[in-house]
Amino acid sequence: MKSYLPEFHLTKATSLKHALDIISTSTITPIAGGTDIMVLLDAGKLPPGNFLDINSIDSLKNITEDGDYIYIGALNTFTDIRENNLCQQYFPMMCEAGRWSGARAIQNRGTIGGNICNASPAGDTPPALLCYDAEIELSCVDGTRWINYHEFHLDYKKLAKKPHELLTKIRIKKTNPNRFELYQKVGTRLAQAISKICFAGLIEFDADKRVKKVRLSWGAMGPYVLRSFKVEDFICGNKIDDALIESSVKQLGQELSPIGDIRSSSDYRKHVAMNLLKHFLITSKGH
Amino acid sequence: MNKTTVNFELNGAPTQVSTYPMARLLDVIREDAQMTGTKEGCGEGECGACSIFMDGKLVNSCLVPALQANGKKIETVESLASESALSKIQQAFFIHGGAQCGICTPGMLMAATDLLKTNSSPTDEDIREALAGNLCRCTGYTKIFKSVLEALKADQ
Repeated sequence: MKSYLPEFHLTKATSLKHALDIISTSTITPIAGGTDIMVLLDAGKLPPGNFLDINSIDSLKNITEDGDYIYIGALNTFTDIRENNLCQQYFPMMCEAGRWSGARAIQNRGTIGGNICNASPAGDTPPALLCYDAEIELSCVDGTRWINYHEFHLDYKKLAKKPHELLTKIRIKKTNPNRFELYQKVGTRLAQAISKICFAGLIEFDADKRVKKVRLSWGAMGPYVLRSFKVEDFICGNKIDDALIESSVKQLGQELSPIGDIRSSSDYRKHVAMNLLKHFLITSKGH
Repeated sequence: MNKTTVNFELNGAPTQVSTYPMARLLDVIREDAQMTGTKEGCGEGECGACSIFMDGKLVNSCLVPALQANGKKIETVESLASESALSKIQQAFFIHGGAQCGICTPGMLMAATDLLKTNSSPTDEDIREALAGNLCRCTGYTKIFKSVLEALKADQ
């Protein structure tokens, strides 16, 4: 059954200050591109209440370079990100993730901040953000604070964001360009499909070909996007050879306990994840 | 919440409607503005039948709350043809069988028009990607793909 529209209050924020003032005193859900909220509305699954249209706050639509960091405003769309030179140059997995989120019409509306705060475990940009050690800026009337993105998701749809805070920016440090990275989405089709599994991997080697840093991030594998910290620790400091690949994949099988849902079974997810890790490590050797 | 006034430009004409702020732009276009070329397929952003341009950008009108259309320039499939002639894309769909039942067609035409606006020499992959958000249950896509290719040829 469709939602009863008079029960949905929508207020337009004219500036960031206006938005922060409103959320400081009332229980209100921000709406940006609407590509998640409007789906729920039409399905009759969106609880009625107060909504804040933040989509016209232009100050949250910039992508800028400052010192060692690239700053991405929370209201940049997937299209903005995939077409941005800085993102293409420094964070290609963000562009890949943007390219495979929905299709053009969705990419023109869906925002990076919405993708993070909607907190779907199957979001496509979050695994890339985890690999890049992204930090996010939370703003409220009293000021701003930065937190590491990997500390943002506490449980399914539970965030380290207080109700009076708004996610305003993402920043990512420009790091070693000589890294190897790979973004892979497994879905029923490339476009529009919500991921069965989404993987982002990043690896850096020292002069001796030992792994200096590795990040392995997964979407649609648990209650929220996650990193395989144990497997990362296991790989770090070693040279990639057949034995290491085999034991890493085995370790991953022990570490992951994927969800089973309408899109895929737990067994399938685990099996494919192990294959993706194997492929990633083999491919990184040739880098 | 009471209805609110939303003003936008619809296919060149200043348009004012009184609607709920969370009403879908799709319904505003079809029911309030009575411009019924835009179709509803899935109502959840999967099928692309409701694709329109909002300030020149291709969007799914089923996922746009009416309030966000205030002050915007909206173009629907009705904007493609002139008084006397179909657009090149429409002409190509007409000649090469790009439409069957017609429900997906307005969205396909808008997505294809969007592609040609920004890319004058798209590759086959570009065309497939541009149409990837539009589902068709009749044609099997081959004739739609061919129609876009033929429209490109007609452009050269």
